[in-house]
Amino acid sequence: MSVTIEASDNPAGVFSFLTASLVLSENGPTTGELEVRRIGNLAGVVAISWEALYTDGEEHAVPVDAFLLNSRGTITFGDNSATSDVNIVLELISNAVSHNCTAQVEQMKY
Amino acid sequence: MTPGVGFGVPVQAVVTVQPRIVSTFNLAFDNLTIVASTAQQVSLLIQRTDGLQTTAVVIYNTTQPRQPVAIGSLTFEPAQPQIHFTQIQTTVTFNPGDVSHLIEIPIISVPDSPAAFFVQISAVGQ
Repeated sequence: MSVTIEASDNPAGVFSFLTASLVLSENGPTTGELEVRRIGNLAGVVAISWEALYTDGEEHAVPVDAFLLNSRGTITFGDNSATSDVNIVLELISNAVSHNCTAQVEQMKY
Repeated sequence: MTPGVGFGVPVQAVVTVQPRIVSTFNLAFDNLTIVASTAQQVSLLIQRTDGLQTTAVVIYNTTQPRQPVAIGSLTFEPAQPQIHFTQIQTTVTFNPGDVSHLIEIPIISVPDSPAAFFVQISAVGQ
């Protein structure tokens, strides 16, 4: 009889947002941070890219990067680290927001 | 998706973005001196900052000072409404994108000595 250990489906870990929502307002606060946590297997250096998109998935006359200073980026998790080198920082461009809207920040494998 | 990395719950964070709804208004000059013998009106610029994407209404009016007005080393007697300057109260609307509006106050007659009146502005219902 032999015992076989299957390889993990997620050898580089599982990533999720620590908080699920954030409110930015030209009345304040105009900046906010989203923290991503890594759980499970922490081995290895992993870079995760992220992007802010409208929640409805539709095309809009005003793109997200017209009112968000940084609408995409990359965060890196070091070897054996559950937290990234930096959090995702979102900042409103002054006087660029014309109406209430919602965007979602998605993680994508880099 | 490249094997090796999994995404837990939540994989998306929702960001709600809200515009500034309050505009700030000011007159381009704190004090403005004109020579009434040659000027028939005073032109003043109302400037707006913040909330430029919204529609905002500003009330402006002229008033007579209750006492002489000192500006630097000079003193000005109160100008007389409807004699020296037009007493008015009216509004100007700032549409989305408007950063300034020019208003004009008619001058009626020349005072015997240097005189002053006030122009006040206030935002409506922000």
